[in-house]
Amino acid sequence: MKYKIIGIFLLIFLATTCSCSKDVDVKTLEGSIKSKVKKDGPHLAHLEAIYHILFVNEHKNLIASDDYYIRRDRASVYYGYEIEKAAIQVAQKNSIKILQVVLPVPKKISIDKRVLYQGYTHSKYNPVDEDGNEIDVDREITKKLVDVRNKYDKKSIELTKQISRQYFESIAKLYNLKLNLKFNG
Amino acid sequence: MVAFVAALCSLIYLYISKGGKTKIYAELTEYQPIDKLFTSFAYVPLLDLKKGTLKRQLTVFVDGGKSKVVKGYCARYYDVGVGYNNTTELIKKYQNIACQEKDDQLPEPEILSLNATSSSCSGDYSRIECDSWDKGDRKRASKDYVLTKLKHDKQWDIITGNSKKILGSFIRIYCTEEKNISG
Repeated sequence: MKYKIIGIFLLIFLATTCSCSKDVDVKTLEGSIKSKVKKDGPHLAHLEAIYHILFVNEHKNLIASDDYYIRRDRASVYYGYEIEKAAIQVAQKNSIKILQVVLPVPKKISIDKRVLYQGYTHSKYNPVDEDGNEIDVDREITKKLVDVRNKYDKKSIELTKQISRQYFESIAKLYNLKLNLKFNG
Repeated sequence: MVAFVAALCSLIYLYISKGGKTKIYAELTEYQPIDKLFTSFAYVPLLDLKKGTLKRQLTVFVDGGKSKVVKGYCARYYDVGVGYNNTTELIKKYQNIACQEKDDQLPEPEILSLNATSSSCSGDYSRIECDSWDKGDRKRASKDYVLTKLKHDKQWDIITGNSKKILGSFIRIYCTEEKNISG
């Protein structure tokens, strides 16, 4: 009887400690995550390229209804210039005031992404890949966005140049200046 | 025999339920002109916890379950862009202040872009809940979280100071004395 009681206490102790060890360990995560300012310099953005991304994951179940997780995102990719590599100044030639602008080749500056729609069969379902590993949905969507963006990069860069010309033309008009705009490359 | 059938069913079930299929489609839908000045970039992780009592937690009997433990988390990793919208308007509005080099009187920047590059969840926090931080109106929640986090980590004051200086220098292009050029 004595051993049975000890055994029961031992079981309770083990059950409690086991459940604690299964508890989500966030201490490391909490300690390691800290916001930080990046060293990228200022940029002037003139073009927004809008992409729509559809993520569909399905998982067959034998008894319960099959799991689906569908997510639709909208991503805005901003194109423009590193200010440090651009030269913008007002100069005077004879009696004419000139807005002189020399810009580098435009590039992607930043991305704004949001979830437009979520559809699912079971709210607790976490999407898994073919091997049963959980999927980092944001990483997968980001990878896909890079692939598609690369296809349109040339067109986006050309369009940014056109819009930048319009932007500086409007500024020049505002100050009654003559625009002299050049692109390096 | 029954045990064999049960084991076989379990194996089939595990085999069938193991893997999932994923398809991702992406397309460019439109272009539009914008007028933004990005002054700073930051990396901000979001960590949200779900707390509760464990089923077998002994303290439930002692303190009525007041001792909460972490039962799940959602971690999202954001690339953040900070700066100003509509520079043409800002040039018009703040030219006098910038030309007098009173940069501290220039407006505070705002969060212009927020991009979750990676995310993970565990325990009672499901993928659907974790992703909803960026969904529609809740996108504001992740923006508020990021701003609060930057302020808490004492990064926002640095960002604001630098941003005002950058905006000031950018506007001052149009108020400096013109240089004579030849040719």
